Amino acid sequence: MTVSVSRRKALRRLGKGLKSEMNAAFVKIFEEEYAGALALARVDCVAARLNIAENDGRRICLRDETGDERSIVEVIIESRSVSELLKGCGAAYLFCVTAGSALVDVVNALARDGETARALVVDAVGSELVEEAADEVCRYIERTAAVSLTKRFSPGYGDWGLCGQAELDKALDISRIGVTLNEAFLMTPEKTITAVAGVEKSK
Amino acid sequence: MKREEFKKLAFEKVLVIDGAMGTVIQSLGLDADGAPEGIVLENPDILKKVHDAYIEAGADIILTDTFGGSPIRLAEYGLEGKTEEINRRAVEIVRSSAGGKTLAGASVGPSGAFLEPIGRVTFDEAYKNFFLQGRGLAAGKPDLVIFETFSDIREIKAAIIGVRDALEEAGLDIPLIAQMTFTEDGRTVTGTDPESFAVVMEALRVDGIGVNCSVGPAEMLPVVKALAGATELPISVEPNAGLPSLENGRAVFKLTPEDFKPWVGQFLEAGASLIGSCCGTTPEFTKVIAEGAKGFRPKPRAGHNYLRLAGRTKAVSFKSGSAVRPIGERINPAGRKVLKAQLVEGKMELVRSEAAAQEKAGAAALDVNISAYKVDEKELMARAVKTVQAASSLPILIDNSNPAVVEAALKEIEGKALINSVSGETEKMETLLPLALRYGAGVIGIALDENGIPETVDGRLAVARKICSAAEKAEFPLKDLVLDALVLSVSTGPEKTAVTLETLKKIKSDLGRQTVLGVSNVSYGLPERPALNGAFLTAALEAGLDLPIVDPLDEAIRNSIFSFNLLKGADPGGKEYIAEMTSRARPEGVSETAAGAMEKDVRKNLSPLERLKRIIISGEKDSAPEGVQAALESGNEALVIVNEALVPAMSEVGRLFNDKAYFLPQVLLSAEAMKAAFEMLRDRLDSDGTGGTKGTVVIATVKGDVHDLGKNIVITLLESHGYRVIDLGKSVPAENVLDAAVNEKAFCIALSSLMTTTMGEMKVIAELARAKSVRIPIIVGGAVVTKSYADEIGALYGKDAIEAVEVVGKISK
Repeated sequence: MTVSVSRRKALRRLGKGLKSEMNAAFVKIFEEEYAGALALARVDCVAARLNIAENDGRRICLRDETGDERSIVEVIIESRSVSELLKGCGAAYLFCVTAGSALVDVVNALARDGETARALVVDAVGSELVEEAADEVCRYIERTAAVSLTKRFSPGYGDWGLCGQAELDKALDISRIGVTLNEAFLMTPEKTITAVAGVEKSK
Repeated sequence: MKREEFKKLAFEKVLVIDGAMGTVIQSLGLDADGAPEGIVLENPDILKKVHDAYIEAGADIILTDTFGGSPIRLAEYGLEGKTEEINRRAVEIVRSSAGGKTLAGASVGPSGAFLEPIGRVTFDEAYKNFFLQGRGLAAGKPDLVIFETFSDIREIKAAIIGVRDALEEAGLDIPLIAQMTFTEDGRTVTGTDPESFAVVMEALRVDGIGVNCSVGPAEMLPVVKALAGATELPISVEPNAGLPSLENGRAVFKLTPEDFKPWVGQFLEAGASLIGSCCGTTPEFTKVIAEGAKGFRPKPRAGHNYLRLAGRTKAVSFKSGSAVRPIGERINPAGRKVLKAQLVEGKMELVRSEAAAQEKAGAAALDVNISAYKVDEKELMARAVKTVQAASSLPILIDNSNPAVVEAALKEIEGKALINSVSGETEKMETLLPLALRYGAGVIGIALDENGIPETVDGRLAVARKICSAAEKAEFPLKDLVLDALVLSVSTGPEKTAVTLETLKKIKSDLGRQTVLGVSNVSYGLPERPALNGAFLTAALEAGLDLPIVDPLDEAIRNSIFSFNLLKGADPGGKEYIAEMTSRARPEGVSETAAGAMEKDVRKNLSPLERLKRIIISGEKDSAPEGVQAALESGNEALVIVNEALVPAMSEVGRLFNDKAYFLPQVLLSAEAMKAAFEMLRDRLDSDGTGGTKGTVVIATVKGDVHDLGKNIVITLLESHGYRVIDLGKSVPAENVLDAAVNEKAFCIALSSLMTTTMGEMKVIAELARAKSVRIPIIVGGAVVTKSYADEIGALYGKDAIEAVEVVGKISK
């Protein structure tokens, strides 16, 4: 998947406001690291479509009912926010998208070497890039599957705890794209998003 | 309808394709919630009504209700067991409406599942999915098949191969029209541009290519124009009724048939010869199209009689006489120990970095050779192809002649590859040429056969002729066949090099084919290989070499190519030559701008302390030591430099940040410059044994949390303010934090956490500190941490790195 990030978005994430003036030293490191970060990103994604078996307003049960023996799985989401989002949907897509570990390795290496401004730029490009990639996945699904999706929603937001990552992992097997979860449900590499988006209706 | 008949018909008249199916079905009152393809079995009469309405409106081609008729898609509704029946019946319904007067077309859409790496579906599974749908369609005997709304070039390849196999199994030789869907920016969602699409589809021998869905006519017209420039095949176009807008969760299309009218002529002028419409349209639109197309005769367009290859997002042309572009040879373990060792271990790091480096160096395509001792070449080649495609956008040369290995690679190829190579051995020609045809690849024919490498020019030409004949017999397009005259090391005798060069000339003059050489073989076994490679490359280019397989990073090779292109008039104005040579002369770094030059002038007249201050404010870390040195040499004490240059500079940076003129990375750059300056003064300031610092802060990201950029930013700022900082890293247990704070005599403990799941650890540390009577103030911060949480656990709080430094400052006082 090819994903790019505009300079404007990266600068905005770095905190550039309307009144900000960029000095030469910053422009130099920004241009170098912006190009470098885009070249380093390796966007990978896994996605799965599950039917919504139950949605009682607090808890949603998603199930793969295609009979594909590789993916018979049940995913439980305990969240009123997600429940509201998926109201009226018969199915939902789960996905995990990552910008890869090389980018995060560079952020860490730069920070370790005391190059925190450069690290911050790479980090910001990575954050924007993975957000853009997640949007791209949704657009891709909408076109290839000819569906309209609700907004995407990720664990750790609203009342959906980060432990939701583990539930999504059951259906996605995120290790296939090199993503791991630790005991606090944090993902490595850092620039990774998991999300759910409901299928609104067939086009 | 036979393919040949279609080819003729498509340039005799405009063929009108029908419009949307779902929109019309809904208008006839049918519930849209079930499987759209279920209607084929449940309500065939309503489908017939839709088909009849489109025929009445003037459609020449009506399409089956089988867009989602592949088993993976039907499985979403539990209908996969009825794949054959649905597809066969759908064609029968269309045929009954068509009545032999209108063309009964079969529609095939994407599976809705994802191919690897996004999804789990492999190429073979996608192939099977479409083969099964194709089998059902073939049973109904359609006149043609239109593939619609594909976004992934690899999926449409699998669909075409699968459906074609099913049609051939049923003895049908009917036209296939391939359509992808392009976004407003003129590419598919997965990045494929119209030219790459055209190159890949021509190689797959489809009979028409086109674009449908996603956007309206205005956004689609540029795509049609681009396709017309990229292919001689008939072009089809099916726009939506404008860009959809979402109203109450439903897509609404606002274009009316009247609005659509002016676009018909524009599409025809642009080169389209099949026009229909997609989402949001009705038979009224078809009527407008049929009226607009009446009497128009599509103009045939010239084809491309030279090799074109493609990656997923980029097509590359190798036109003789145009600028020569190198093909990267570096992904090859021959003579490269580290790469070989990595391949044996199954590692792809070097493959990835070599792919990226060669693309950056201007390679037009990448040769991929993974032949290493004791490896599963099939598996390794497939992985190498995937790796190269992820690291670069360039087309690939599959450097292997084992059919099983080549096929494994071809299944992974996202564009159009070149098989390197097919010899004149009968068995190789009989297996590899059909593979190239099946998967849509080009072929390098190499001048050797069962009898080895011919020693004479005539001998090599005879083998080349044999390969050309075999290609013609297999109906392989000769423009996709390039010939390798074969290079041997000059150490085996210079007369052999002369044979190579003469064979090159003869291949061009006698056979009219394009040429390729693995140039570096010429220097095998000799010292200073680049010099020889460069000289031989120039001679070979002069003899008619089109595709040089070389090291694109090598200076001698680059000299040869850039000079040759300039001398042959393939580099207008010498732009590329000049850019290449001047970039070598200039040292790396930023060019000096006018503003930069002015600043230098201003600084010349400043005192050393003022100059240092400006260096810090501007965040010029590299200039900071020099600035400090100048200040010291002009007689300033270290403390004076700190108090009159460094501290005021950071105060000014703080003011700029508060005024929103600076944002965080600029503050950090200044802090880094400050730290560099401070380091130079540390020994001179170390009068109280604290290393010249304001005291020690112990800092950590708490246990379980892996995020440490925020913590590192705080460290940079603290150090720039003269504190000694002990960084314990990330995911640090409570005991370690307290032990370090006590041992290092810290006056403050700083803790960072980004996530709700880990910030509880801050409380653990605060409580443990109380239990152990460690009375060192704790400051906490991080994305989810709030002031009230800090209060609750008895800690201080910094909302961001800058506030954290202020709070630490207050504690230190």
